[in-house]
Amino acid sequence: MELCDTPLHLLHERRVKREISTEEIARSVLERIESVEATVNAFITYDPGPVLDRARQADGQLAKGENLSPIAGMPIALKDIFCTKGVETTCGSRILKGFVPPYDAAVVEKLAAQGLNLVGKTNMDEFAMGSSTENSAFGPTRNPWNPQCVPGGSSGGMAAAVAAGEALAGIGSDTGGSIRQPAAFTSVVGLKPTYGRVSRYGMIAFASSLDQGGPLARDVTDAAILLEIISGADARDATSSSRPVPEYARLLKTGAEGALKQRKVGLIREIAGRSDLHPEVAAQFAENLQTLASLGAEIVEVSLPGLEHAIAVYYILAPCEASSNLGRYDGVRYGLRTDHSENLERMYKNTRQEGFGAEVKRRIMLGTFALSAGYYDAYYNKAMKIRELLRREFAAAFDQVHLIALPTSPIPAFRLGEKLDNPLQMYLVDAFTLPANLAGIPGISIPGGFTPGGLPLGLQLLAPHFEEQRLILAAKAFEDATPYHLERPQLG
Amino acid sequence: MSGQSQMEFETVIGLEIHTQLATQSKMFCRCSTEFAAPPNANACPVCMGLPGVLPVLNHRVVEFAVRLGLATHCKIRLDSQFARKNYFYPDLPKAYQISQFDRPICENGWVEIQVDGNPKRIGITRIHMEEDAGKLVHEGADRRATYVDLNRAGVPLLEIVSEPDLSSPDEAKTYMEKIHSLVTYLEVSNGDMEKGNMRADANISLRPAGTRELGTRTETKNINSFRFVREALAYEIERQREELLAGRPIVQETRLWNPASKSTFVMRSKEEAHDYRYFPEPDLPLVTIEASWLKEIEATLPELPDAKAQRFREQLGLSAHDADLLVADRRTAEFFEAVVQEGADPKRAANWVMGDLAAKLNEDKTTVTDLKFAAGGLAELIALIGEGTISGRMAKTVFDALYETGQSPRNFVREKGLSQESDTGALEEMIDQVLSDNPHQVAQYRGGKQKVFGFFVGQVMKASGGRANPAIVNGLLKKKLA
Amino acid sequence: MNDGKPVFSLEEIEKIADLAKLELTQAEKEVFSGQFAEILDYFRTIESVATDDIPAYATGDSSPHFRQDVAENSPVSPESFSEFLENGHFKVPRVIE
Repeated sequence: MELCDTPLHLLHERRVKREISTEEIARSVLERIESVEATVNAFITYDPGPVLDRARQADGQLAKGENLSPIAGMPIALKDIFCTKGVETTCGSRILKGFVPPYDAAVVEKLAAQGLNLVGKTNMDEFAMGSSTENSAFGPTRNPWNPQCVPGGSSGGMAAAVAAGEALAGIGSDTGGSIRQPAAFTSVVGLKPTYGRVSRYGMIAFASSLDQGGPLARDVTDAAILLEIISGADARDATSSSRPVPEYARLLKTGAEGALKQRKVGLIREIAGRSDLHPEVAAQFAENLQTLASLGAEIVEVSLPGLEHAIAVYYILAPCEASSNLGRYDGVRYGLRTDHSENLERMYKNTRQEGFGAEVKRRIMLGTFALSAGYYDAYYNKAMKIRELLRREFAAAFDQVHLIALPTSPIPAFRLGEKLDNPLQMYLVDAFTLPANLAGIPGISIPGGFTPGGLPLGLQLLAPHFEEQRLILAAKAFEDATPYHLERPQLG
Repeated sequence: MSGQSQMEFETVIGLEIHTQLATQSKMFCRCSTEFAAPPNANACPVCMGLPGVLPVLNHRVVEFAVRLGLATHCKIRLDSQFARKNYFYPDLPKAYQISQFDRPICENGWVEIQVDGNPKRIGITRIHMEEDAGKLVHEGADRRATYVDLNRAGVPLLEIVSEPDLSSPDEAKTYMEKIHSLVTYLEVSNGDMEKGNMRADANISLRPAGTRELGTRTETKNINSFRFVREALAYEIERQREELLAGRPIVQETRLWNPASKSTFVMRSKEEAHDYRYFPEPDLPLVTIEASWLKEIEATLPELPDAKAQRFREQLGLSAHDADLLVADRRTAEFFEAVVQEGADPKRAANWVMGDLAAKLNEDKTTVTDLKFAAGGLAELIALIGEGTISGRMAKTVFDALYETGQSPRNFVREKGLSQESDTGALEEMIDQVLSDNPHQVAQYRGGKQKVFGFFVGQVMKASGGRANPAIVNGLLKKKLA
Repeated sequence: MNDGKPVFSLEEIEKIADLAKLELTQAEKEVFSGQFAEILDYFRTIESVATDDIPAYATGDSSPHFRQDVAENSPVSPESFSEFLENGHFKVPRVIE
C-alpha cells in the first residue's frame, strides 16, 4: 500500500520511528493528485506549492525531538465550505468565485494550531445542496471506485480525495448527510458530530440549525483524531456547546475490543421493509448486523414513526433557512456582481440569477415560498413541530438502546446525471442520513461492504447527543472485525 | 353636504418608537457603536454579512431591554426568541434583520402620561430587541450611485410598540417624551435626538366620534423629533379628515414624513407591502433569563420619573406641572435636587432651573452636565435674592455671570457693587425727588388712575440705577401717595 | 395549503422569484412550476401528523450564550475583500427612495 493510501495515524507512528519522513508522505500525496485529479476532480482550489515546505517543517520539528501532533505537516484537505484566510473560498458557487476571506473558520484555526498542511479545497455541491457533487460550479467530482458514478454529496470532493489518496483526511460538513453519504459511496469513514460539538464559525451556512462540520478519514482512528482537534466551544458560535471535549483519540489506544459486548443496538422497524431500500444494500446491511451480533451486540427493534416524514420536514426546513442564509449574496459588498447598470433591482436579480446554479435556485425558491405569507404555519411551523416529535422519538429509542444501526444510504452510488432532472428522487437518497441532522444527534458512516458490482456501501451508526465516544468505539470494533476499510480503488 | 362637514372625528394613534441603546459594542459583534466614524470603519465580518460568520448576543442589550420592560410594567419573557426579518436592501448586509417576532422579551405594559392635568395610561403592547441597518448616502461623487456605510449596521435598538391609546398629536408628543425620559433615566439610551437615537413610526386612523370600530389606518415613518411627531400627526390627521369629508376612503399605506415640506407622502401601498418571511433565528438559542438576574436588574433600577415627580410634589411642595416638567430629564431633575440640597427654596430653585437655566441651555444646545458652575452656585444666587441682597432684575445679571464664568454670585455681587438699595432713608429721598419732578402724574394717580403707580416705581428704579429693592419701593410709594 | 393538488402558476413562480431576487428564465419557470407541484405534493404527508401539543421550538438543551459589551476595532477592512468600494463606501446603483 502506498503512503498516500495509508491511514494518517499509522503514517504518524512510522514517522515518529523515523521509518519515513513527512516529506515522503507529502510527495506521495502530490504524485497521486498528479495522476488521478484529472479523472476525479476532487479539488476546486489546489496549491501544491507550500505543501512540501510545510511537510519538511514538520520533519524539522521531529528531528529536534518535538512532540508533534499526528496531523502536523500531513497533507489534509478542507471542503470548500470552510473560510480560509487568504485562500479562495467558493462553496462550489460561481457567486463566490474569487472571494478570498480575510478570516479563518474556527475549524481551520484549530487545525492550524496543530500544524495543518492544507493541500487544497475540495469540490462540493454548490452551498452544500445536493447528494452527488454534480451541483458544483466547477464541474462534477467522480467516484474513484467507478468514475461513471457520483461520489455522493455534498462533501463528494472531500470523500473522493480521501478515497483516491489525494489527501490523507479532511473536514467536510453535514446538513442532511453530506459527510456520511459520500463517505459510504467512497468507502471512507465520515463522522457527523452532535449539533454544537464543532463550531460553525467560518463554515459557510446552508441550513444553520442542521449544519455541522466533521471529519472524513481513512479509518475510525483518524476520524477520532480529527474530531478531537476540531471539537469544542467557540465564543463566536452561540450554538456551540461548552461541554468538555473527551479525548476521542485516546479512547482507541486501549482498543475497542468488547465495545459492543452486551450492548443493545437498535434496528429501526420503519426502515427494514422499505420498498426503496436497494436489495444489495439490504443484503449487505443484514450481513453487517450479523457482524455486530458476533461482536456481542444484541439487536433490538426500535420504532421511530416520525421517520416517515423526515424527508418532507427536512426539505421544508433546510430550504427555508437556506433562502434566508443566501440572501447576503446580493452583489453589494463582495463576490459576483454581474450587472453594473443603474438599476439596483436588476443588479440584485442578475447577480443572483447568474451566480447561483439550478439546485440552489430551486431551494431558495422553495424556502421563500414556504416562509411566505399564508404558508408559514402549514410548512415551516408544522415541520418544526414534527422535528421536535422526531427528536423525542429518538430520545425514547435511546432509552432502550445504546446505538442505532442502519444503512448510510438506501442505494449505492448512482451514475452521473441519473437523478439530475428529478430533484425529488435526489432528495429521497438522503432518507437515512437526514434524521440525525433533524434530531441533532451524532452519526458515523464506516466502510460496510461492497455491491457485487464493486461499489462501496456504508454502515451507519447513530448515538444520543454528545455520545460520539460510543460511535467511535463501536465503529472501531466493527472496523477491526471487517476487511472493507482496507480496500482501495484502482484508478487509471 | 353640510351634515358631513360638521362630522366630528376621533383620532386613534399608536406609536412604534425605536431607541438606540447606549452600549459600547454592537448587538451581535464587537464593533464600536461610536457615532461619526469614517465609513465602514466600525464594521467587521459579522455586521458586514460576510460568509460563514455568526451573531453572538451582547449581554447588555438584554439587560437594557429588561430594565425598560420593568420600568414600563411589562411582563418579562424568560425565554424570548430572535427572528429573522427578510428583505433585500443595500443597507441590510445579511438581507435579513435580526429582530424579535412572536416571542418578544417584554409584553403587556403601560406608562402614565399627563393629559390636561389628568393622568392617562398608555398601553405598551411589546418591547423587542433588534439590530439597526446601515446608512445610505445618496450625495456621492457619482449621481447615479448610492454609497453604503455599515457603521450603524448591527447597532442595538429597542422597539417600543404602544397600544392605539393616543388620541391627539399632543398626547403622542407627551408619550414620546415620556419614553425618552424613561430610557435616559434607565441609562439604556443616550436619547440624543440629534444623532437619531430615537425615531418613531406612527399608526393613525380616524373614526366618527363615539364609535368603537377602528378606521383604516396609515403608517407614517421617519419621525425623529418631538416637534415632528406633533407636526406629522397633525398633518396626517387633517389629510385623513379631508379625505373622509370628501367621501374618499382612507387607503392603507405607508407614508413618509418630510420635515422640509411639512407633509407626508406615500412610500408604499398595502399591495406593495413587504412579505418579510419571519422565522426563528437558528443561529441564536432562546434568550433565557435567570430569575436571579431579573431580581438583580429590578433591584438596581433608579428612581423613575413618576416616583420622582410624586416626591417633588409631596416633599418639596411643587405643583404637578412643575414636578412633571422637572423630572422629564433625569440630569435636570438631579441638578434641581442638588440645588435644593444646598439649601435653596424648592419653588425658587424650580423656577430658575426650568426658566433661565433651561433657556440658556436650549440656546447653547447643551445640558446641565456641561455647566461651568455647581448646584451650590445657583443655591447661593437664590439665597442672595431671598435675603434681599439683590433684586430679581439684578439676579439676571448675576446669573448670566454665573452661567458664563462660573463665578460665585456672592463674590460677583461684592466685586461689582451690585447689592440692592434697601436703605429706607436713601430710597425715601429718591421717591420724594421723583414725586416732585412729576406733579402731573401725581395728580392723575390721586384722581384715581392707579396705573400710574408703575410709572413711579420705574422712575425710582431708574434713579437708583436698578439697585432699589422693589418691595421696599412699593411700600414707601404707597405710603407717600396715600 | 390549498385543497387538492398544489398547482404552481407561472405568476406565483414569478412572485416568489421576485421576493427571492432571482431573474428566472422562462424555461426555468416552467421546469420549477412542475417540480414544485410534485415536491409540495410529497410534503403533504406531514398534514396528517398530530402535533397539537408539540412546541415549534427546541426545548431543553439551549443554554444562554452571551458576549460581554466590550468594543474593539474590526480585525478586517472592507478593502481586503471588496471590489466595490469608493472612498470607503460600498458603491451600488442609485437607490430611489
